[in-house]
Amino acid sequence: MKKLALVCMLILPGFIVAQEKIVPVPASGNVTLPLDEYNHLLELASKPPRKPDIPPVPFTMKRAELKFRVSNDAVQGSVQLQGEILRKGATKIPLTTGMAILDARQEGKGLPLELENGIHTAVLTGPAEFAVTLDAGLPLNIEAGRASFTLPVPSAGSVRLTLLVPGDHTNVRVSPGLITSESSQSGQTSIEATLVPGQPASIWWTTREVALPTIPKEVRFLSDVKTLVSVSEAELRIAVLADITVVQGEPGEFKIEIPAGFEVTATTGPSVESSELDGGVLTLKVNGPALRTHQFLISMEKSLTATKTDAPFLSFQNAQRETGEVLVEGAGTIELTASEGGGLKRMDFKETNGYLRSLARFPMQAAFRYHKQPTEKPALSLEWTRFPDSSVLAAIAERAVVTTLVTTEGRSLTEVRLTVKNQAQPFLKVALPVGASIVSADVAGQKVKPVEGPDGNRVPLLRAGFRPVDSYTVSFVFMHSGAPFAKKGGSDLSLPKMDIPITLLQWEVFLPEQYKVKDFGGDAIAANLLPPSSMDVSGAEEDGDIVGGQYYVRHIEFGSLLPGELGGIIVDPSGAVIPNAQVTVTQVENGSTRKAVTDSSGRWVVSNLPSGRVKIAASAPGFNQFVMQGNYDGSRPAPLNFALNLGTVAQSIEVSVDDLSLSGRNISTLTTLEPGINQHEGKKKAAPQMNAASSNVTNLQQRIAGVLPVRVDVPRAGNSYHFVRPLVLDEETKVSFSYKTK
Amino acid sequence: MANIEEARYQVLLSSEGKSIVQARYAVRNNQRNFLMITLPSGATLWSASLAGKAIRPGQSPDGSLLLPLDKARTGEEAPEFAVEIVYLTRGTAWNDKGQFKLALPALDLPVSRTGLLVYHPPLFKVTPENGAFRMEPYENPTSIALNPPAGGLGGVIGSSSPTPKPAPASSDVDAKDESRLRQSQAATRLLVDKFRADSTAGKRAGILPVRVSFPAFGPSLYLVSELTGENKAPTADLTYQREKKAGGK
Repeated sequence: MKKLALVCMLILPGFIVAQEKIVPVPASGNVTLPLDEYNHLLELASKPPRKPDIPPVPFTMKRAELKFRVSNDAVQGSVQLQGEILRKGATKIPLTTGMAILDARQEGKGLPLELENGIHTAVLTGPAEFAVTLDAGLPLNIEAGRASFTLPVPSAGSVRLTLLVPGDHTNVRVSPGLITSESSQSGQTSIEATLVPGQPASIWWTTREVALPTIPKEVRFLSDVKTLVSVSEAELRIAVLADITVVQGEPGEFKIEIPAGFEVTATTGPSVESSELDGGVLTLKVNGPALRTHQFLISMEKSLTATKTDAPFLSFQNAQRETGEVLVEGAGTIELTASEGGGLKRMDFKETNGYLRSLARFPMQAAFRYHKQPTEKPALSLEWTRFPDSSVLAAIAERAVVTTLVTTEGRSLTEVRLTVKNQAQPFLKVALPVGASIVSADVAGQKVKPVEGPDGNRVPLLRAGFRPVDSYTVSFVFMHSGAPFAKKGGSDLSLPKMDIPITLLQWEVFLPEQYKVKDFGGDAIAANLLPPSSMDVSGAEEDGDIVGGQYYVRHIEFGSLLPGELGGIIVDPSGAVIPNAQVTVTQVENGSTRKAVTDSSGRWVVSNLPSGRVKIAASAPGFNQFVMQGNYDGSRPAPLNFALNLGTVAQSIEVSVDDLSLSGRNISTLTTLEPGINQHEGKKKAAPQMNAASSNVTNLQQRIAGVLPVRVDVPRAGNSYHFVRPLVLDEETKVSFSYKTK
Repeated sequence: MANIEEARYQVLLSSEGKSIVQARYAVRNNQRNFLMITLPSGATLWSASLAGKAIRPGQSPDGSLLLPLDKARTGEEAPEFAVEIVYLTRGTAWNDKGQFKLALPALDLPVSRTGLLVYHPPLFKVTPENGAFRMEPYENPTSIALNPPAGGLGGVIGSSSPTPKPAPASSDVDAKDESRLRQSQAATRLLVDKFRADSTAGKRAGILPVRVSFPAFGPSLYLVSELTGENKAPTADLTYQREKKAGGK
């Protein structure tokens, strides 16, 4: 291989050099090569050398700059062409046509041109870049009121034209082409344009179209200034809505005197280009001098240290006529006295301009109008007495629905679900019973982490970006280890103190079914002690029978009904609300009907219903129709919640009850009824299902023993007992009872 | 002048001595700045609203509430609007039987007629004593301002006043002026809307009360009275007795 390399070094350069000159005879000697290698070398040596690439065009014209001036009856100027010759040697370059060429130069030296078929051509040597300048002239066509010429445009990559024509603001047109700038100075109009390469451009202008200098007319305008004066706790705020009507001239700016002590906080208006405050004068520059109307909104404020002040009047300088209105409003509870002078006339504030009134946010105190006269200066003195604000409630729980499951070991798991309205309270403070701990909490459907402090747990009610305007749900689950159940004895349960008032608390307690429970005491009323008409909850145990129904309905909440109203919530068998269900309430005595449709929460309500026997029919696509008859007492309205069975609307379930108010209530057993059976039978049928052992009990045991998941539901198993307590005000709720094994 | 055509109270009494009172007044006014309400001693104001809009009343030096009133246009009959307050009182817990004096607020305006719906603890029988109030079958309020809007579910009524629509141009202006007027009004409306959206000036510091729905719970009595004088606090005297039939705690 070393030998081969040596041969290559010796022979190959020889072959290459041989293309240019005679190959020198190598020094004598012998080299031994294998035949294949020798043949390969011969093959390589016999290949023809590569020829250099020939450019596809002999030259390129990169750009052309045309500068012409129109004087007398001719157009004169220069054409500067820049390009590159790509080929070696002399190349003919066509430069221009249709022009009278006065001179041609290349790099300051004269350049001979050749006229070939009407095209001025230069012979230039390449390869090299070139720049040629031609002095040229063109004929100008002058007609009555119009001048024009045709400009041959070189075929360059880009062509720019600069043209000077006589006259100020001469309206020059170029076609094809685009005028990119136009200016007028010293009796001449200058335009710059981009032309289409290779296409002759027609250029013309109207010779009479010369803008005469105009004498600006004196600006005259009228101002109508509507002022809102807001007296708040610490500031006097002014919002001025100004309407300017220009009757003559083209104002470029308006000047307003700003009263001393005020800080301008905002200046807006559709025509406002900029604003500047200098020396107590606010200058508004406008971008449409020809506009006939302008609207401005100027706001300003100053701090208040006393309980009296003078209201400011903004005035536009040089206004021909000034009119206006002043509306005074007071934030908070104030008693305000306004003393007017200087042509102010008191007016009913309901007669003030609608836009001015719509700026107001607080109770209106006084209103005035004025038409400023040269001899008068409107004045308004304000004096007020401010009353402190009463304290009000920042948050309330309109309802608390509590569910507790107690095991025989005495452990309990309790869910407290609050329907909260909250304006500002950041936390719900929960003081749990001793030994209890919160295992999960959520606010408006989002899990939250309670904070534990020395005085209790705090559930965050508000967070960044969460500012509800209506009620929302706050729930938490806590676990408590109590004493195990013995064969017989007494026990008690308690709910935590919460620092927002609860208007109505409903508590359902599930106790082990192997115990008989009695002697309820405590703060809450056992529902089995309540007369039927007073309940708006159901599910109480009565003589061992379940009077309510399945638990899911109990957790649906319906607001208070006013006397004369009848309403409730409609759910499906799974407990989900049914929106858009049709409800018809018919007065049996006279056949008069009232109709309602359930909203997205399954709620319906009819109003102005007199007492008497009524028939209620409810239907929804995909469900059996439900019909119910009963006596309605308008003075004791109570929510009437019921469930619709799955099925076709052709089927219906009819129920008759003596007193609809006693339904008070959830006709949830209907979910287990077959058509044609009455409610009482349904209850008995449902009872065994309710008392059946639940696998949830096992789940609870596992949860209490092991690691709790993030989300904890309270299982419902065993015997259910209901309690109610109105008006729970930052206090514990306790229930006590005695028990013994069955 | 101003007057209250109708006052409606809903009261929920608890046997623990607490009570929540919702007071609604149908007010007509064209001159008065405030309605002064003196709550019963020891009462705590929970919420207040004027024509459905939550407000925070002021407090006069003697502790009375001052609710700023809307004034009607002079020379026209003042329209009715509703003033509502909800407050809480705490008293002593009820025994098995006894008497209860339900004191209501005193107003600085005369009240033409008053309706009082009392929800009492379910385990007690409550009967009214002779006095200014007498028992009657329940009737809805006659004042429009106190009746809930049709189809409503007790939702919040009222909002800030919207930007007015442009007034129709008068017929004697020519088309050009009319067009100019429309442009001017549209521009003004935009300015006002922007100001209202941007302005924090009108957002007063402090909290407004939550709107409290009255918790109607338990059996009820409906009592009425007429012609309550100004600055007079009406009271209803009630006797109560624990019902044996319902059992006891």
